[in-house]
Amino acid sequence: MLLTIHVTPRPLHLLAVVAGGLLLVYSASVPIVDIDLWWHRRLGVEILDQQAVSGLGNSWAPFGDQDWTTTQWLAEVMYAWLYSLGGFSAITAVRLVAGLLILVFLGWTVLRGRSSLTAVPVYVTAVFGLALFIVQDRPQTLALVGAVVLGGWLDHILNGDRSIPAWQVGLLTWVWANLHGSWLLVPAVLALAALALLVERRTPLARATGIAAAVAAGAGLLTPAGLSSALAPLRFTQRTTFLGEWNQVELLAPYGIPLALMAASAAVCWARADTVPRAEAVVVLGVSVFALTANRNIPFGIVLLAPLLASIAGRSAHPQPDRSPPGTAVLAGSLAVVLATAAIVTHSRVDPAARAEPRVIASVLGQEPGTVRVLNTYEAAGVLLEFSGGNVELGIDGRADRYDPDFVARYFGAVYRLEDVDGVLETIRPQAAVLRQSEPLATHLQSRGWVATHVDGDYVLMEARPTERGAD
Amino acid sequence: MRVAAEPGVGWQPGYIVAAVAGVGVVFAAASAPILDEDIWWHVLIGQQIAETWQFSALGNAWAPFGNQDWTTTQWLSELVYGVLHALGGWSGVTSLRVAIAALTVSAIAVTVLPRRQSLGATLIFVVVVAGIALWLSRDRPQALVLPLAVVLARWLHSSLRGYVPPWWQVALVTALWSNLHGSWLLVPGVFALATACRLLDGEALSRHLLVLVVVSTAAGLANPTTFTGGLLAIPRFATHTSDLVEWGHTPLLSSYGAMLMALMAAIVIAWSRPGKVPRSEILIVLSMSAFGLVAIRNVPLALILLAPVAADRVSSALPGDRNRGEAERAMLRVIVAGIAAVGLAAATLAWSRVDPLAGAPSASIVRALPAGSETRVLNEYALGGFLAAQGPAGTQVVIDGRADRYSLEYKGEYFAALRSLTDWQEFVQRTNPDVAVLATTTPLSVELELAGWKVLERDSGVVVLARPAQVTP
Repeated sequence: MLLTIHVTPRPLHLLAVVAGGLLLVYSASVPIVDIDLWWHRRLGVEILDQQAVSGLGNSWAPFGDQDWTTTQWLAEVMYAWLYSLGGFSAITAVRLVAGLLILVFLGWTVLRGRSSLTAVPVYVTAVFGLALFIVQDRPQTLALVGAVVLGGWLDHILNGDRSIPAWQVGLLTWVWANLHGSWLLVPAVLALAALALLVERRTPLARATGIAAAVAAGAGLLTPAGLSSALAPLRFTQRTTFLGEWNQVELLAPYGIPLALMAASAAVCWARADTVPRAEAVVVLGVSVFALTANRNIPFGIVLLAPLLASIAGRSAHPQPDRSPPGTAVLAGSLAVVLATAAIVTHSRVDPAARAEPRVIASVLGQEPGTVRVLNTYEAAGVLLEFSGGNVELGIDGRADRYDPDFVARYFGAVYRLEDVDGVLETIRPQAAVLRQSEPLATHLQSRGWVATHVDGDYVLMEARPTERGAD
Repeated sequence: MRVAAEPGVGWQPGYIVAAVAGVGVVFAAASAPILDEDIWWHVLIGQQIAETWQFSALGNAWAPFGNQDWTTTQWLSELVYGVLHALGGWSGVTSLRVAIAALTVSAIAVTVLPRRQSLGATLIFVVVVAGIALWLSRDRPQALVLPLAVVLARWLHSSLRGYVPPWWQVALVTALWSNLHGSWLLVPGVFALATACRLLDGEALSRHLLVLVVVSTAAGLANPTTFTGGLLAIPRFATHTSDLVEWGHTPLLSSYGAMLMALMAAIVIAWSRPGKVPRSEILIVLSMSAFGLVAIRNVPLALILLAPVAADRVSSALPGDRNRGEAERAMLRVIVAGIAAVGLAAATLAWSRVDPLAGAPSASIVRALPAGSETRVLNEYALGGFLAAQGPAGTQVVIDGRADRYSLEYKGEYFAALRSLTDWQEFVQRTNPDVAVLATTTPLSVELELAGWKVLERDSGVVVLARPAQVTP
């Protein structure tokens, strides 16, 4: 895609530059907080070694589907390659690059050709809404770059009355599908747009958009995971009831407020407009409902809604033409350079593993002779794997779709509600447990005679009592 | 119900759907056993008020921990529940629920259906009554104020059209509301909102509305508990309820929030039709939506307050009704009246046949409790009121459903002990229970069993455990 900046900088655009730049600096200052990056990287190494995307990670995860197929092989290979080049700092640098791309593409789709009075507030709200998501090193962050492009296309189709060339749609979806399982958004969103256009009887554009959706569906299947990638959402819905990021969005919780503001703004603009295109209403409502279904959908909802909201606000507000005082462009450029430099400097000074918990416990396990089988808190899996040097067999790791739903329910039931603890211990046969001290099972195991040997932040390492000691 | 005579407005077939939905909700309310976990102690408090005519230091006999000077914020509801229980047992209590359900649904029908496009009005009616059905099936003081909320919704709607209710009506309703439930603050809040709405629409500041804000505030304070701690209890709820689901934010796609979501979606879709929407309407919809989203327990009030505005908006977005002849309208009246009559008769029959205790914890749990002078129970939060009301005389619980009665520290220690997160032995030692009545999924029940407590009963997900010393005859 050729990125041409058509934005003539206005005074309000300085606010957008500052908001985006500060987010980038913030992103640079955050160490790795994603709990899954650690095993993503190790899977990448395995993929490169074995030249296969199935049957991965079995050495550290003896339970679950041993033929499990990754839906994000390209991201994992990239993480492995980056690590070999520059360690974890290289991975967090990619997060910065992805963040920059997201902010620039978002700026392009939201600010370009619109009055700064209506577009800048939309951009700033979207930037705040993305703040918690683009600081994470995960394949989904990479997919967000594609989602910003998709959001621009959506606005282009509905308000620009032009279709998107099928080859562009196919190319984006193909890359996206190899990076992350959320690629299904492309055909789904385009199909929704086609349906919405049919409601407005814009048949030729609806047909072209429908064809684009079909192309996207086909391109998305062109991955080593094939159909398995398309079915991934079904697998996740059965196994993720215990995970907060898959929970429904509470609009007035911190995650949901920017999304709530955007949806409410669209509604208010419609209320004050003389007419509202039906297709636009259908798409905005559809995307809003999608975003509300899970916390992890929020960033996708935000970047898909932002350009549409900018169009809606621009139509309803009838703002006065922008005026651009001399020097605004220079000031905006200077601000961007200063903030980008600050982000780079900040990144270079941050230890990427500073928040990796329980790293100390993982090191202890790494020094044990032979692999240690661990009954672990779900969120600790990646760090235990990475910082023990792979010297652990985990009860569960972050690949929720790899495990049978019954296994996941039993495992979480034992950790949080002490349900069938004996049964779970019999299944896992752990030599040690690494749990948060606040988890009921941690207290329970100690009352059964397990010995706490190390405390690391919130976590405690316990050795199994001899009679319950598993695979030695 | 007055039938408008304007062409195309009046009795329409859509009302049959409304009638079925309305009586369905009343029937559901009538056929449910007692499901509310707090009604047990509300009744006990009501009985104590009837005996002592005091509103503070209530319920200390069964709850030795917590604030011993606690003041109720809903004395009149509790008194009514207590009297009904004395007159007709638990069925007497549930009879009030059926009456309130019928009254609320009828009031919403009268507010929403007449003089509007029938399809739009029926849609809103069905969404609203379906959305409050869950609350109408519960025996709780909040349900008693729902008919008053319908009156408030009518006042809000009419205030924007220039009709301001007489001050004495507002004073009466607010005074009744404040004695029934602590949510009376909505009344002055709504009149303040109406004042802001009229300003937003370019009208002069309404002195009448400002007077109503003052009158309703004064009337709300006309409550025997106001100056004995009741007023101070209201802000305490905000900080004391973080562990309770109904005080949590409303997830829009949950069973609690689905109908609020549907109502908001209907309004927004109607907004997207040609024509400008008044700013006042936008303010009302946004503020009531936010109010409903703040806490699950606000959802029924938000739905009712939004109903007239939503009915107006959705009706205006749809084509007008077809004119119907007098004979056809008469026939429709007969059909709707027939559905209502048959439905209400069926609801009454269902109420008379349902065992009000069918939804309560199993009787075997109560039977397992040792009879005697004083039995202290380490209980599940939701079971506190039930055990106090249905347990043997002298049963004491370590906590009941009166969230604002207990300090944050005490509740923190209690919940931590139940989840066996911290030193639960210290909490058990301090509260010194003879038995524990806990959910089988509560980690502490496993710990107690491991510590030698004996299982006396295990039924329907609840386990009764006796302290080791208690086991010895």
